Amino acid sequence: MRFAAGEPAAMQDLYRQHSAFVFSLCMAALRHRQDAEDATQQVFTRAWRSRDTYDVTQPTGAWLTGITRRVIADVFARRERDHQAAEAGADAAARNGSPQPTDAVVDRVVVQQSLNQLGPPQDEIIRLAYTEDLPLRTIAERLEMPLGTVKSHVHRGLARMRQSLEVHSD
Amino acid sequence: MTEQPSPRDGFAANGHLTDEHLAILADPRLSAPGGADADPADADPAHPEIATDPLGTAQREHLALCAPCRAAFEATERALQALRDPAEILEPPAELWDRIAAEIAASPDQAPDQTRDQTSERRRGEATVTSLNPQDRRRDRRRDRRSDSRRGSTHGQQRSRSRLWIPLAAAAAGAVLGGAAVAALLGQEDATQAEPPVAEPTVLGDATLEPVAAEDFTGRAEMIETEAGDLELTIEISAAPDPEAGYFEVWLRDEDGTQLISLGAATAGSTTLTVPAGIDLSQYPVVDVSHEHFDGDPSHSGTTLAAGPMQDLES
Repeated sequence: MRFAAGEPAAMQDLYRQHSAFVFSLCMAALRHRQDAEDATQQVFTRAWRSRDTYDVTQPTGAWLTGITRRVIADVFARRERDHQAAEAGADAAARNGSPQPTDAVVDRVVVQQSLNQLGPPQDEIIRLAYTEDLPLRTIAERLEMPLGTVKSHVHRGLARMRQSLEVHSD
Repeated sequence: MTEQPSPRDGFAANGHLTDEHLAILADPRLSAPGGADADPADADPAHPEIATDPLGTAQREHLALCAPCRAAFEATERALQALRDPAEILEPPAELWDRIAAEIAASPDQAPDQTRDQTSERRRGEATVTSLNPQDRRRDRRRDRRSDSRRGSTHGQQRSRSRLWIPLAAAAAGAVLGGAAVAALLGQEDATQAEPPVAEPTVLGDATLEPVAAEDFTGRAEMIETEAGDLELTIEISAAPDPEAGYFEVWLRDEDGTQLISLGAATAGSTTLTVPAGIDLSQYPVVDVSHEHFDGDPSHSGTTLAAGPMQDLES
């Protein structure tokens, strides 16, 4: 990876490739736009500073996910401190409101991203089957496809999601 | 976990569960003997146990014994869980990259686990490679002149000091923030090629200011210690502010732009500003010229036109 050799242009490539993922992860976890922007900035600057710790045999996306998790944990820790400092702060309270575990948030973003990459008709089938929870038979009728075809799209689509999740889990 | 399902026994040729069977174990609705002739019960999530029967036992036994398949199964279940409420994929705002690029440019080209000494060694090496540009030659001339003045000095009170600034890479001339639109706001008068500052007093170091937010905004800065022992920064910049649009302010700051000291406003050409006595120059190694508005806000606007690290002339 070129950025490991200290090429700023390569850093921009990395950003192009992964910024939507990192930003979405920060948004889903922090639920606050400005915090998510700041966190995303931190993720990429930390990545730049620690680029020589990057293991070239690993996918860059997974590496960035690890950094993003730590940045998010830092934001939560800071909010916790702020919250304790100003107990009555309505803003702090609103932001704290029992966040979802970051693992689950990572899964939700990874799954959505890999759903976007599946392409038709697999993405649509997976969405109808699991996000909308429609019976497979209904999906088959709606898409005018044999039920068996729908099922094998589901098998393959779920395998892709599973693999993405495995890549992004530590 | 290979791509070829072998539905007959529920295992792939390598003995692991197939993608299909992992999916079926996680979602029993998928389990009906394949094809369009599936029994309607398999589409009924209320009775998944009915549909699990044809494949269940052997695979579940395998799961209990095989860690990789168990991990794959758990990941499949997580996928189903996440699919109930997938997160939105959002593009960050366009200017976020500018902020990141500026922060990267402003940070030292140094990894946290390297010692500063090694890094400085490397930098010195780099500096010699790039010393063929005219500005450096100009600096060399000045350095000669300074040596001359030193030789002629009767004071003999040369500061016995080690380095004032830890050398930063030239690329560390960074921004706090950038904004391309700023260039349009600037008066585009060319540099009134001002005479370099007179170097009778001791020249401590200088900086080449590289453009940050405004493309062709450049400059130089030189720090001197006067005969009286005061510190002065003389700065030459290549553009004049448009009075309608604000003014230029000169700062000494750290690499990250988290600590700043304002020295005052700069005009086109050469401006000499007093540096507060007692300053620890190593804490404020970067010279930064910002674009400020007449808004009464004394803090840095966030728009750095040009910046550069100070370097000891000895280096």
